[in-house]
Amino acid sequence: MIHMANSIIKKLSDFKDAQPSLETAMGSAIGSYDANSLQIYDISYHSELNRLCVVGSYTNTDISQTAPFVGFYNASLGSSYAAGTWVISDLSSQNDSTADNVLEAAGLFGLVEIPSSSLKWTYGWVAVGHVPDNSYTAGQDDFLSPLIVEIDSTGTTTVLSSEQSGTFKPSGWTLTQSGGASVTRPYMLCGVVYDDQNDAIVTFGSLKAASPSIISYAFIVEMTGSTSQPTYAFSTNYGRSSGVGHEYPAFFRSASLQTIDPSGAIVSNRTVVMLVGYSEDLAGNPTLEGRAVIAFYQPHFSNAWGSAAPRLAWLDRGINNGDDFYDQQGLAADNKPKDLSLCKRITVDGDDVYVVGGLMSGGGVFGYVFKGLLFGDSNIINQVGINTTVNVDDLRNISSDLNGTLPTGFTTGNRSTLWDMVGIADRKTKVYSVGLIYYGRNAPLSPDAWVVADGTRESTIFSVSRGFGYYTAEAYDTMITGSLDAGNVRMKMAVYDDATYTSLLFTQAAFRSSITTASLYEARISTGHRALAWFEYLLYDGVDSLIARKLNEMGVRVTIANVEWYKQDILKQGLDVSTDFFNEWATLQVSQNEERERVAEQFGKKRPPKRQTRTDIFDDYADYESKTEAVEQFPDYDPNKDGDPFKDDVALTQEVEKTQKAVDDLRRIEDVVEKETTDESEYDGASDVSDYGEN
Amino acid sequence: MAIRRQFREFIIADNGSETVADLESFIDKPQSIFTSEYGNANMTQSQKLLDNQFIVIQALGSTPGLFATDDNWCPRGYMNITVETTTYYTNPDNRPQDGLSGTGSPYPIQTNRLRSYNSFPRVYLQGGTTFDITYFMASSFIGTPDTFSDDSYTQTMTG
Repeated sequence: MIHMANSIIKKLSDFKDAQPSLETAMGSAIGSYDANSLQIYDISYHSELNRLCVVGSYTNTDISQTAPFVGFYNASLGSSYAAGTWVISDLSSQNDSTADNVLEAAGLFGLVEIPSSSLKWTYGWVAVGHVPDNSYTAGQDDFLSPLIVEIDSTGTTTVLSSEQSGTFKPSGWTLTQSGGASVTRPYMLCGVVYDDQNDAIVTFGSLKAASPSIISYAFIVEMTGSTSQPTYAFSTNYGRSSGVGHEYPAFFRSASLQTIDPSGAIVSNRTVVMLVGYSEDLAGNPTLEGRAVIAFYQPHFSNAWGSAAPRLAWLDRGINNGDDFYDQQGLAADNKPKDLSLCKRITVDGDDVYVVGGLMSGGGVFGYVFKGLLFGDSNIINQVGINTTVNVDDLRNISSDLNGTLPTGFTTGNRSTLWDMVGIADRKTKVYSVGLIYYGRNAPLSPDAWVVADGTRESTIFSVSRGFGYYTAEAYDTMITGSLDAGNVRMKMAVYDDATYTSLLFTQAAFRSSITTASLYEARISTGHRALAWFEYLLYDGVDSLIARKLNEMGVRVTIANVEWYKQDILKQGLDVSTDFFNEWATLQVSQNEERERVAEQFGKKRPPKRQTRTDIFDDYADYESKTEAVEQFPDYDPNKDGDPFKDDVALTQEVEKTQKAVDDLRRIEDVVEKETTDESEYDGASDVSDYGEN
Repeated sequence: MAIRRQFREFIIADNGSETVADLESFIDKPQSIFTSEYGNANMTQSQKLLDNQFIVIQALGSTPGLFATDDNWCPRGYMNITVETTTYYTNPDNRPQDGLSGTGSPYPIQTNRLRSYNSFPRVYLQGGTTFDITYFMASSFIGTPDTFSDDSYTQTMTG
């Protein structure tokens, strides 16, 4: 089947390792930081603020507990990460240091962007998580309490809700539908989403019953502003862990929301949150094995409940009921999800789908894609006790695709799960990460063995085409050595687009520093496609170019052999061009010049130029007039003039004789000429005396 | 003065060094492998031969492949020679043709990718003429992605 998935990501390049600078910054900012203990649970690149933020936990040596932290990178990305640029917020003061035997790591696990347009929140982020708390029930020393903080545009954190700080203590949170107190106690917060139409957040996690405390519920928290007290809702019927022997709490782990009416218009009174998580409900689950839950929730701030029950409907209640989703889809027991770790709505790549992912009961990655959700006729979720019909335009089970697309040496097993998926806007494709999950735990502080049970490469990056038609693991092959740390199981991602290049930010965590420290990388993503063009030619220059042109004019193919042949031919020499052509060419030039000299000399081109006229035989006659004039002007010629003292009589006599001789010559020439022109004997053929000359 | 065998290898790749916008605009028309500023075509002077230069083109070749699939992308590229204002490969009406396909004349030559020609038709470029070698890529680096669709589903959810 051809999907034309040209855009699928197959290559990661230009890696920048941000973890060392964060590690250095943590050590500088937190005196009780246990080196290399940081774990990153969520990452966000705020596209409006152009800043990176990470949240997670570290080990605090003073209190010997894991503690939450926020890392804010106060510079634009694109260059190497500098330790001095990280703004670190240590939230260990929110821990109850007297708590011990805690089964879940403290930390911040969810991070959501708050836009500058928000009127009720600080521009930046809201992060949620949980910390150890020993204040709930005496003797229950493994208790946790939620923590909500906001992070402004400079990285400064403000605690919005904490049992330790006293700000909106979770123990004082009220029920959303009634505003009244509850005997239940908020326990964990695992994630958070922001509703920009209502400027409110929905966060979710786990709730403990008052007694016995082993009963827990997956619960949803609404918060309509940073100065508003959180309220919460849950179902006492479903999404719960109950009964003796049930070790793990029920909780919602991931969620995503939409704010559209049936026509597709974005509105503020049709918010629906899709939530996924874990439960161990004794009803219908006698094996005590957990079952994943999927629910839809309509917030009170979107569509008021009045004083009635929450607007909450269960697609699957995790109780093996034949009316629920997994059975309606005909999934075999091993293919039903034991836990769900991802619910994400992806719209940036030109499509609009929900991706749900988790761990199958029989091992391997569970995955489903939902597109076009309509609740009833008007996108209203009915309140608890009243059923709601959901219509899905397009639905697909992608579990087999996820498990069938693996790099060499990578296997999926009884802990494998889908951790994250991000859409790449300009390439219209998606990147997703597969790792390991400890079902029933959000951040397990359990033995290390579960992490390494499935091999050494616990999490990595894959790609899928926008329409989920084609999958590839080729990106894994381009990842630099060490960018996927053995032991890191949870892998979250964010997209950084600087308007020129698109980069992927990804981080891995192991929950426990005893396994490994977290990684944090930035890498450019691309298809890796390459096109080559080759142009090969022979360049003749100098004399060779003239020969080449001559050969072309002659209609002879221009080849090296033909050029050399012609060269040899015109030089009448047998050159061996296969040997030292250049030396022979130089020798040839010398001999050619010598030959040219010889020929030139032979043809008279090198003799001195002729004199124009021989005048020496007429010298006396030539200056006759001037000499005559000189004689006439001679002083002695005129008796009245004094004589020239330098011309004596001898000289004068000689001058006169010379002049006289010249005159005589002239007369003799004239006589000869006259005689030749008048002597007819030359023409009559008769012999006369003149024919014999004067002798 | 000499006779020299020379070559130029043009490379354009979606490997993180090209923007998506450049990759998309590259496929619009034949692009010079010397001066187009795509890939490594970063020469700043036109290819005008000196009077004492004469070029005999020995070979042209490009990445082979005519039909891109999910597993095997190919550029579907064509090369052409431009001398002054004319092109070597033309249609019967003398309009420029795509040129010599990478499948007909592959580069690099491999055992399963051989030239369809024993010898390349020799093209002579006289001194003083301006020439260019163009590469036209018909496939897209990004292309037209698929859109998700499947069967619909309806369920009554318990409240």
